Amino acid sequence: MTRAQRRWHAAIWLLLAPVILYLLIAALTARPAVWAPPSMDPAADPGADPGADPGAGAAAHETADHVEDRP
Amino acid sequence: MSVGYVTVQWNRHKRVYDSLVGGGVALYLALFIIAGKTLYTGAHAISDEILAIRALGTCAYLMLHVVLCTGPLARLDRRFLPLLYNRRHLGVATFLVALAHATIAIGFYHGFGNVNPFISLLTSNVNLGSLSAFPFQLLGLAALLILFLMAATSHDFWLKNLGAPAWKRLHMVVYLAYALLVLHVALGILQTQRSPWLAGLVGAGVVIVAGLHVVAGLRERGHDRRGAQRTARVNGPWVDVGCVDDVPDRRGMTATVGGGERIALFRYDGCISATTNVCAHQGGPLGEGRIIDGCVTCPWHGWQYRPGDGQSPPPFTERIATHRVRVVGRRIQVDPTPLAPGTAVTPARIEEDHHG
Amino acid sequence: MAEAILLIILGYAAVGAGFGVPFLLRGIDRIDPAARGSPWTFRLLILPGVIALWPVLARRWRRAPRPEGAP
Repeated sequence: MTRAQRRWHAAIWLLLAPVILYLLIAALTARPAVWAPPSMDPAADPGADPGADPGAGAAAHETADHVEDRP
Repeated sequence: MSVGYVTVQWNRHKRVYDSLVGGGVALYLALFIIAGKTLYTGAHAISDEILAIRALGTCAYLMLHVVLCTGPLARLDRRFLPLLYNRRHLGVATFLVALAHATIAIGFYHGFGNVNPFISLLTSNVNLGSLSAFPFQLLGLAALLILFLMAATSHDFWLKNLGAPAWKRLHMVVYLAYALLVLHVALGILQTQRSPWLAGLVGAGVVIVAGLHVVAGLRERGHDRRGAQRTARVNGPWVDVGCVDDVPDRRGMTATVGGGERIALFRYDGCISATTNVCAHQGGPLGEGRIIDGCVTCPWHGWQYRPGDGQSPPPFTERIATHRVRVVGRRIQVDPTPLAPGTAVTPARIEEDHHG
Repeated sequence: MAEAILLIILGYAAVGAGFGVPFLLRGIDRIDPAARGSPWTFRLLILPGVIALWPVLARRWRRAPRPEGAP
């Protein structure tokens, strides 16, 4: 390698190594104690349409069926 | 060396190398999938697609570590040079495995809706402010684009037509790709797979890759510093760079003088010749090479130059800078000012005191 | 926004592919003598790079010396 390339390599790694390690540690410590998929948590997405909640829709449908089937 | 391009410049060494890479990848994927099927059964069973995504992803990640460690390892210990010789094929293989990982992942997670999978990939998660819910896929996509650019420009055609400095700069962007991939892993799989072993392995990978580069860099810096103290003592250009007995026969030695590029010294046929240490191909350290068939042979990719004039033997046309050299007693003295590439210089004879 | 990014990338690649065919048939021989008489598999191998870096090659092709006998 040329002298300039060697210097670039050294500079890049002296800069990059602490940044990668810092971000890696930040990402690992940011993990919640008990992990749940972020998309499953309605509080994490306040703009979401509550009607789109598959659980709520299924429950309502089930109730309706139950009412109709009642003799 | 460039006379006429061939599709892939295979020789025996490269065939063995590529077979080992191909076999290694196949073996790793098979073992990963067998282990995944055996260890996770019943309610914990992992679907075939996810298992394939993980096998290919970890395989590419591991291969990138090997690619990145090859450079500093070869600078620290000559025994790693065979790894370096065909690193480009390993790099292209890494891209192909990563591409397979991304293709299956995008198809599996984004391919079943009525939205274009790429649009879905770009828009389905915009939690850029959150660490635990970060769209880590975008980091992987950016790294894949970098790996693609590198794989697509790996042929010598690109080295020649982009120019060696620009080509080398382009390929140094791989370090950025590595940083992106560490985050892709840390913000992706490590958020759901909480095993300390897995996090420890990723951390160890970073420490090894960064540590090797820093150690190799420090060693090079020590070499340059010792050279910087070396200057002409008497009137005239001549600088003492060592004893002829320091240079093994048909081998090279590297010397640094002042702040210039390193100089490679070669001993052959009772003579000493000096050229630049930088190979015209990819900047390989010529002084660590040997004299094969009367030619200086670069330890990285085997490019050859005649030691007397720095020209590649016909039909090749590459040229490197030469240096004036003389032997006084047993001491080698060089003129640190490089001559124009391809300039013929009379080799210095070793047997007798030579004051020319 | 995402659609616009995708369109720009696809447009760039389409121009690259359009440029790539004549470049690999004729242009490459003009800018690099070592490519003369090279096999079509070599030309196919560098096609992805041509699509990605076509502006660089287009500039080189424009500046390449005209072949003998050309107007």
